[in-house]
Amino acid sequence: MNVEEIKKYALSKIEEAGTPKKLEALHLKYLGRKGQLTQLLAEIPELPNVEDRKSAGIVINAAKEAIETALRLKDLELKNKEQAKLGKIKFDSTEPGKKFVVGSLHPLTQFRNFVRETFERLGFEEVYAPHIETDDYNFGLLNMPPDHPARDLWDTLYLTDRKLLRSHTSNIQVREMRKRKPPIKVMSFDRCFRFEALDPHHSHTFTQFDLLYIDKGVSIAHLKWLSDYFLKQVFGEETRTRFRPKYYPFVEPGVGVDALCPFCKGKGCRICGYAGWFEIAGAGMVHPEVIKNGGIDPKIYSGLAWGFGPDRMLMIKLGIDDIRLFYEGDLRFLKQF
Amino acid sequence: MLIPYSWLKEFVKLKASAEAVGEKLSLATIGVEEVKREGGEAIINLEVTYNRGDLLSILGVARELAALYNLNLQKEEEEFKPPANTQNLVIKSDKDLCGLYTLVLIKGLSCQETPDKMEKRLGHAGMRQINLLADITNYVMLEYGQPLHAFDATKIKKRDPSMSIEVRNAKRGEVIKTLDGLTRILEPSDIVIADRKGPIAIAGVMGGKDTEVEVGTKEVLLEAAIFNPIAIRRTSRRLGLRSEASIRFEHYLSPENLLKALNQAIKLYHLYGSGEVGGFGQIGKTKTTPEPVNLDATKLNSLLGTEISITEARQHLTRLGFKVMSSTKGLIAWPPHFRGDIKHEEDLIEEVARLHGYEDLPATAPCTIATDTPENIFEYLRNNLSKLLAGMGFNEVKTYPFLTTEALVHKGSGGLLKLRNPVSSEAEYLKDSDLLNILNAARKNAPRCEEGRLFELEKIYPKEGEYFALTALLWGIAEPYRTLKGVLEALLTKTHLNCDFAPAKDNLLHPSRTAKIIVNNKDVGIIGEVHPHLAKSYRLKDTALFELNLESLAKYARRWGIFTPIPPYPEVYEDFSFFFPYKKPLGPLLQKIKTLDRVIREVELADLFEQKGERSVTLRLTFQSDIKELSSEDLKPVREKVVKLIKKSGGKLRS
Repeated sequence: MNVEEIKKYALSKIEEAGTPKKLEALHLKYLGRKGQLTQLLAEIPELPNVEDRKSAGIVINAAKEAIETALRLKDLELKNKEQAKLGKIKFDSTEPGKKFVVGSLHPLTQFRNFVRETFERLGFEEVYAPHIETDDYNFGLLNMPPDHPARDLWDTLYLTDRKLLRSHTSNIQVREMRKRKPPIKVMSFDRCFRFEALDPHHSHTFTQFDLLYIDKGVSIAHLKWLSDYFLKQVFGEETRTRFRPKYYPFVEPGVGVDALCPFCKGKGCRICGYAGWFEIAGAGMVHPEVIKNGGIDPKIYSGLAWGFGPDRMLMIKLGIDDIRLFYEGDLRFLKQF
Repeated sequence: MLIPYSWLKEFVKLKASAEAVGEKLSLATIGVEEVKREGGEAIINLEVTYNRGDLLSILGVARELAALYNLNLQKEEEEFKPPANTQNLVIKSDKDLCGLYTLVLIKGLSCQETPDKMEKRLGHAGMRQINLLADITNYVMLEYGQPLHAFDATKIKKRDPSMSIEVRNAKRGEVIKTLDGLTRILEPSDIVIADRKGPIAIAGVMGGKDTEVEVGTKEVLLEAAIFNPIAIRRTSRRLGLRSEASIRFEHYLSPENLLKALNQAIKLYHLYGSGEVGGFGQIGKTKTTPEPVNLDATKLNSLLGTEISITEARQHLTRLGFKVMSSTKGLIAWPPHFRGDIKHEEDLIEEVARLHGYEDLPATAPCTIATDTPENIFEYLRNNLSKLLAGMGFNEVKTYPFLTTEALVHKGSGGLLKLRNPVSSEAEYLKDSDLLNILNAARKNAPRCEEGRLFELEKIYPKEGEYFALTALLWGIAEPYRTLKGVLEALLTKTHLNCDFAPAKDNLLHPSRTAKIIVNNKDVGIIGEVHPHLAKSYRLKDTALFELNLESLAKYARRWGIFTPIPPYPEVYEDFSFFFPYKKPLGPLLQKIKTLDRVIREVELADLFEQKGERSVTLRLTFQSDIKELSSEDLKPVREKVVKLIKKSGGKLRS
């Protein structure tokens, strides 16, 4: 076959080709490494005279170009057809996706992560203390010797005379002071227990958060900043906080922290009991006796303690009306988080 | 403490509304429960805390408000001084039991009605009207904060003509019939007021029926005392008798205040009952000797983060009744007699801060870095394993730390820690495993969920010591044991630990399908199918559970593994199918095959089924060399080694 015939035949075959696969085969047959035209081109140097070599080159290259063009055009044509076909497939993008099982973290765990991250950014470290605690760490070393009437603030669950279920996370305080040297920046988000019958607002098992910061020159101004910082993270930038005097035997001065009700912004509504404010945290400057009990000199160092009840704060934040929902394992509740 | 507002205004000329005064008190002094209105009277309900016993009185609140508003206190009784030639009453007491004991004999009383104003005020303050003679003691207690007790002197004289009153500890087995008509058996730690015949009152807690004042009482022996607060507290708690009086006795009381209260009571007995003082006796200290407290100006401002001048501090303290003197570093302050709570410099600082205004304190960011903060692998595990489990479809629950009575039926209470004062029988024993609690949570959801996955990460309380356990449970899933084991193995790969399993027994788990989890030769937990009987009683099917001691695991776990280079040569896969008897453990065989030859990269269980009571196993081996592309010829000796090992271990190759 001469070049012209090859070209003609190839072009007709390309025209007939109906699939990309056939087109690929034709490409190989004529233009591939061992393709007919490739071979003809390779044979050119063997022609005896220059003129023949020149004219053969022109003819073969022209045929090659024609075939390449035809292949490209046919390829485009096939792709367009395919595209048109894909565009006509029956499909409804709003059909629900295939179900993929995913679990959930408890809302209190998620809140714990949030609180921890918030204070980790300020360099506080998570610590733990026993739930079954001695009377000393829970009360005595916190400036509440036996028979101290302030113990009435905590209705405590006892195992024996000297062993109890800790009634607050403040049992970290003397333990951490004895373990470390100032500056001390620690926090704990953990369980506590009190003698309370279960109802929508009370639970014998609940969560507490405690922050302890001890260094030279720690002041109530730091306490104020930390309160503002945290409550804004929880309830939003426009949150306002205020301090009131409050008595806890292990701090002096002692402070009650209120947050402006996020629902009524202080006007008074059903959720805040028409007070406009939520009493949300308790705090104060660590009592010198407590610092001393921790083996640190209160003349050189001062400290702050700051704490709140995550159950209640989360209830306010999310509008949950029954604390028992946290502890009763109902998936209809848990899966919402 | 309920404070009728009009009563308060007798002591201090307040112009603001009761609500505004309540707000002021809550921002500068103490918690206010509410301000309510009742029968034309505004009543402020104060949440008085232990440190501020002085606020358990109208006078005390008036003093505080006078300081807050910078007003004068209108009237305050003088301290009682007996008229000349008053008969001396002999009293015996002990200063450890009673700091000050006073008795006034009031004679010539005529029976009269309690005035309306007094009755109304008692009602508004939450007290019951009894009769004039008793009402006066309550009225003065509310006004001055000093509890008083009126004995019928005629009745005492009948018992003991000498009227020899003694403050002493009760004798073992001594009894007294109290005002409420009950007979009380006393303990030696109780303090009693006694005459020669025996106790006539349980000090600070309740008077005796025998010497009760009545409408016709002509002579009253009026007692005002400061008892040992701890003894009063113990006795009142033991007897379950907490009264307005006993609560005040638990707080700090001042002798000066006592004598003022006494004077006021005597005046009222005279005014409303025509009574006259006919005798007086006292034993103990009648003056407070306040300890001076230093206030250092630098300390004041470093603790508050402020720049308050000593002049300002001095003004605040003076308004609050402190005697103040300058010192080189700041000032020295002597607390007023009614403030027993001021002992430390910090106490003075709080007083200054309160009057300066908490609102006006600055806010400063804490900038110190704590340096000694090593990585906490337990926290890492806690967070990451929880997230992994949630990703694998497990929902985290939180359950109570107690075992319910129902759970105790399954488990028995032996070996469990027990509370001495449980809230209820449903919260009496501490759980030593989460099994029954998480099972209970599963049951609650089972009616709506044919299958489910739960986990809990909380402390459990075995007798040997509490620890954080990670407990996971699934139900309604085929092959629950192997499914859950897969979950456990996936979690453990993230701790870079190898773990082994060995048969174990647990009464609540399946007698066969249960294993302990071993890491570094230590038991770190248990995995098993829940015993079918137990599962059935919790209305669950195909239920398995594991419980890991997360604290033990944290001791061995590593956050980072070590990188193994990926060879450039292709992997070759081959399956080995064989029968393997149940009495031979499959796990160790896989481990052994893995170490047979360097080119064996992976040994996986590809298939497992039972055929005519025989266990059929297919293992898929991945071969790969670091140095060349493996040919079938290369693998021949390895293949032979694998087959030999399988046979040696008891396997029978399937054709």
